[in-house]
Amino acid sequence: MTVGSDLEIDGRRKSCIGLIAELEKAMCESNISRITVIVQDVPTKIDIYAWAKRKGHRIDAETPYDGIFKMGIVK
Amino acid sequence: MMLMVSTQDVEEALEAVKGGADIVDVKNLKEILVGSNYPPVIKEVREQVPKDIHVSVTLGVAPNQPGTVSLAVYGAAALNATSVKVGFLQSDYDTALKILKECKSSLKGSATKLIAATFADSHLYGGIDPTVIVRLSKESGSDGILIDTLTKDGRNLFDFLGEAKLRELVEEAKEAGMSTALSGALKIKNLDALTRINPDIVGVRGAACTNNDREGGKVSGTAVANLKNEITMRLQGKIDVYSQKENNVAEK
Repeated sequence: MTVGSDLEIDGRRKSCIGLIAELEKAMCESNISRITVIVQDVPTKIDIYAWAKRKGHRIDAETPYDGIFKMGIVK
Repeated sequence: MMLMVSTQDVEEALEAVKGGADIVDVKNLKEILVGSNYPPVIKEVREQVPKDIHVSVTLGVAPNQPGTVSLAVYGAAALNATSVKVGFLQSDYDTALKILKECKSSLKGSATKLIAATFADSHLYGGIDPTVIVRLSKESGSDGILIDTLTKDGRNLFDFLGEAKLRELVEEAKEAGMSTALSGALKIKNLDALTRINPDIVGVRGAACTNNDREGGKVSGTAVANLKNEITMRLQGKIDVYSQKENNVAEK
C-alpha cells in the first residue's frame, strides 16, 4: 500500500462489534490518509461523527448511498 | 443495534425468533436475582434456534470463586453459546478481574465470547461500581460489556445511570473493540435514549412478554416484533430521536 492511500470499510457487514474499533485501528496506520465507510443506520453515522471529533479527524463527505450512508473520513 | 430477548425455555426462544430477535438469551428467573438455566435447556435452545441467530447464556450473579465460574463458562462454550455473561455483585475489583481472566482462559480455542457484566444498581447490594466495567473488561481480555440492573421494582437502567454516562461507557468500550450491551427493565419509551447511546445490543425481557410481565408473562412473538420495528424505525431515522432530545432540553 502506498503512503497516503485510501481505504474503504463496509460497516454493513459488522454485527455486534467492531466498526469504531476498526476505524480506530485503520487511522492509526500511518499509510492511511482517508477512509470511506459505508454505514446502514443513523446512530452509527452519528457515532462516527462523535468519534472523528474526539480523535481530531474530519468528515469530508457524506452521501446517501442506496438508502444508506457513505462517509469520507480524513486524518 | 441488535435486539436481545431473555428467555427461559425453548418455547420462549422460538417466540423471540418469530418476532425477529437477533440474540436469544437464556437465563433462569427462578434462581435468586438472576441465575443460569440448565444445560439441557440451553442445548435444546441452541439446537432449535437457527444458526444465524445468536444464543447467549447468562450466568447471572457469579460467586467469588474463579474455579467454579470458569467451569460454568467452559460449559456454556461446550453448549455452543455465542456468548456467556458473567456478572458481579458482592465482589471487589481484583476478585472480579481474577474471575474474568480465568473465564477467558477457559474459553481458549472456543468461539464463545466472554461478556463482563455489572449492574447499574449494584450500590444497593454492596456491589462494585458499574462504571469500572470497561476497565475491568479491557484488563481481563473480555470481549464485551453488559450493564444491567437487579432491581425489579419498576425502576430501570436510566434510574441508576444517566444517558450521558452510559454513552461515555459505550463509546469507550467500542473504541477498545468490545461489544456493548445495555439492559435492565427497558421499555419502548427508553428506545429514543438507547438509540442516542447506540449500544451494539439492547436486552429486554418484560417489554417482550405478554402484559409486559417479565415473571408472570411469557415471551410473545408479537411483542418482540413490535420492539424490533420500533428499533428499526429509529435506526433508519423514521423516528428522529435527536431533534426530540433537543426539544426536551429546550423545554427544561
